[in-house]
Amino acid sequence: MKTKIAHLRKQNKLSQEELAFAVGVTRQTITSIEVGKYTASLVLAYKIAKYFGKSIEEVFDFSDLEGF
Amino acid sequence: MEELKKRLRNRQIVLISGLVAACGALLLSRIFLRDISDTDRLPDFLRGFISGFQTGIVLALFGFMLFFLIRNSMAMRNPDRLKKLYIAETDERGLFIKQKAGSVGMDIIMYGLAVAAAVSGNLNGTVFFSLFGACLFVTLIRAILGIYYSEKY
Repeated sequence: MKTKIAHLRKQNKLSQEELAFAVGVTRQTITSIEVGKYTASLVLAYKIAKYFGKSIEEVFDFSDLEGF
Repeated sequence: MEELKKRLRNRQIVLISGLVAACGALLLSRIFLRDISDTDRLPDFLRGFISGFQTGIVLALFGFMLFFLIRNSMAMRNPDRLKKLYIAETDERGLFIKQKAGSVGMDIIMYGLAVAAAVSGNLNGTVFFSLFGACLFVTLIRAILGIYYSEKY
């Protein structure tokens, strides 16, 4: 799944480690989500979106799921 | 975080109990199974291997326990370390990987044991029944866990 996490992080001058610590996951999890290898759970997606002050749809791209 | 501290304290008790039980089982088997043991018939290097394995297991368990005891005690005293430990333990990707590895691993073990049992049936009865029993045990555990989790979720 595509996300705007990397872009938002850079905008906020935030490292993966800092974001990971803030939302309660490891840095590797953030890396995997950013490169699209792992899909975040609803709870984690909510935490990340809330951290950036955005809605889940603004951070995560659900267009791949359309048609299901 | 208080919940995690409590869990760490309980885990330390389990770790120590596990080590005592493992050492006890090894010691009791050395005393009481000596008479019916057939390892005396084995060549020296094989007996040495068994003895080395037993010593290694005790040392590994001891090292494992010591590592976790120190890590947990340090985390319980330092809130930053405690949060890092909490994150490492509850990280959803880490848990997902663990579940995946456990599930696929169990399947491979089950099929491997079944094939090995079938092949050994042509060679040796004791080996066949040992492998068959292990295969049955793994299958039973998998079935029980399957029922338990389908009821839980």
